[in-house]
Amino acid sequence: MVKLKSNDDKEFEVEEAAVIQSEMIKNMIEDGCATSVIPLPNIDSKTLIKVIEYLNKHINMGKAAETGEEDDLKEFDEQFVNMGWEELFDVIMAANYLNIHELMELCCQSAADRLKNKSVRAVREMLKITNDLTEEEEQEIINDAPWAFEGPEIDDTVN
Amino acid sequence: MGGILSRSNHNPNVRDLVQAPQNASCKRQRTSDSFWEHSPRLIPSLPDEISIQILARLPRIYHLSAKLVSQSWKAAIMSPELYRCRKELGTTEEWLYLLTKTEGDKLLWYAFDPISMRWQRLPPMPAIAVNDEARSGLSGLLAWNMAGSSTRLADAIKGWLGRRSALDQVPFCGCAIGAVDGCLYALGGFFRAAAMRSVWRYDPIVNAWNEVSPMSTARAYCKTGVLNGKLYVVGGVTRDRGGLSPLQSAEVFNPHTGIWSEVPSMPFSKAQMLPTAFLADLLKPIATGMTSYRGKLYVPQSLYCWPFFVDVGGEVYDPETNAWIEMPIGMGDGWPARQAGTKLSVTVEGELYALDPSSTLDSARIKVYDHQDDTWKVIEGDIPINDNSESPYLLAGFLGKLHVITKDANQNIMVMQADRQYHSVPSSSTSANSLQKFLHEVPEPVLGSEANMWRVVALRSGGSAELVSCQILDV
Repeated sequence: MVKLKSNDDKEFEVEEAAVIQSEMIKNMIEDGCATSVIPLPNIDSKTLIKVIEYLNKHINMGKAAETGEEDDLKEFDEQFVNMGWEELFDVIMAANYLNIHELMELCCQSAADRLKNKSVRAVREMLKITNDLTEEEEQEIINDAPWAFEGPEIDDTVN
Repeated sequence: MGGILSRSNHNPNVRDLVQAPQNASCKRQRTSDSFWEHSPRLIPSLPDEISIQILARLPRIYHLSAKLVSQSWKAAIMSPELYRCRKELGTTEEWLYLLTKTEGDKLLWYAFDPISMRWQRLPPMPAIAVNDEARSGLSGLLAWNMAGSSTRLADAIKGWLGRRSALDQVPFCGCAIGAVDGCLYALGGFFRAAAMRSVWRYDPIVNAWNEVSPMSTARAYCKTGVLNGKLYVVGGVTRDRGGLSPLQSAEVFNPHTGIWSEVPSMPFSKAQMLPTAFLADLLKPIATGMTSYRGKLYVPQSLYCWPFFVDVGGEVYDPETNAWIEMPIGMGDGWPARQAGTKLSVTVEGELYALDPSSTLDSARIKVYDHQDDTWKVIEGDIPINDNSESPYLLAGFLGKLHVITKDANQNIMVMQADRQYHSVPSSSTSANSLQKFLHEVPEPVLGSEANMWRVVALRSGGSAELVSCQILDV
């Protein structure tokens, strides 16, 4: 077992087989730096719980194909990313820090999927982006390809 | 690295996070002139190098509207960085680019996205400034033609152009089209009856046409092919001593250096074996096609004396020896000719296909070359096309499958996909392109009675537009 400590001082025990999906921790273990508790000063307990949930589920990724658990994992992944933007960003940052490749993929893909078909206004609102384009610049982009900004398939909702 | 990103730091933890080991899936060299160095973050809650990984997963059809989100989004969408990341992540998308010629000989490009099934219009090809060597006009060409030249090449060219073409008015008339390294190229062509050296490139990242280094030789109707990431051109015609003469020369463009280099000229050894000087003068050797196949460039050739084309096999360029050799006899003999001698072919998943229009008037067949037997074999399933010589057909290797683009009886432009792969020789090549699953969801009618082979994957109203060329870009 490996002990992880979140930045709000909560400790979590994780199986080594699960936690080595994090390249960072795997390296620490290989270098013999993981003898006691590993402090994770950038990850709060709420996010760490999510990450550990993912690691435990994906513990035997390689075996999933043989045992026919692929669909099960896929369903888990779909449920897993069903979270708000802020929470998703926290998990992405944690996955990036811990260097968990598959989790990073999953969350970035989910973020990209959420942006599909969204209106420009909705994208800005969801991601809290301030529009700093001038009206002229906007018009120039629209004039380049007016057909890209209309149509019933464009979704203006922000979830 | 962390220093750059922490300038727009909103979260005190972020500096530490970005200094942590980076995600291995998208390692990039950060340059100091990054577009985001001084601008607000792409997504305020995330470092830009993570945001770029999210944007790289956004399908390309959304790029136009993503540009409207903010300055930094616009800069990111138009940055090579994003596309490098897409390559690394394997999120590039193949689109089909179709060049059409409309009323008034205006050239228009369309891009087709097979996932969203949407077409986009490309910015128009630029209006070319008249250069000094291109002043003489159509009259010069006609005068040359009337002067009793035995070859009357100009007539053949008019045949290629179609009846309604005006040779002296339209830029890019007779230009060759190619694609390499994610960009489209329009090479040479006629303007005011003079052949041109100029080369224009369309870069989908910036969605604009720009002129690149010209070819060393002015050419119209040359043939293009891609080998080892470089764009080759061979043959074509140029204006020479007041007349037009076919070219045997070849050259190659390296898209990374932007430099054209010489390639040995096609020897046209068959033409040199003509029995008399009279025939040698009468019959002009012409490259009628070019396809990259098995690591070499295959150029079928004809001897031409208006209005006849005599097929004489062809020659093969091997980049390793930098030399031309004779094309295998069976390949040269069986390579079907299309219109005015043109030989259309495409390599898909390592197999060389050509279209043979000769069977009946309202259908055509696909032949595949058998490398071991040196023969062309007809594959089942006639293509139901409405070939009235005004609207030709095009071949493309798209999403790992053979596609035929033509116009149907209602003047619609029709993109048809061969639903099965036909291999003349055992092959292990199976395409695992994930895009195909999207195509299979499209409930389009299956044409032809034969074995459900051809499936219409896209249809757009074509009007009087003629099909000129098609290319595939994977960006």
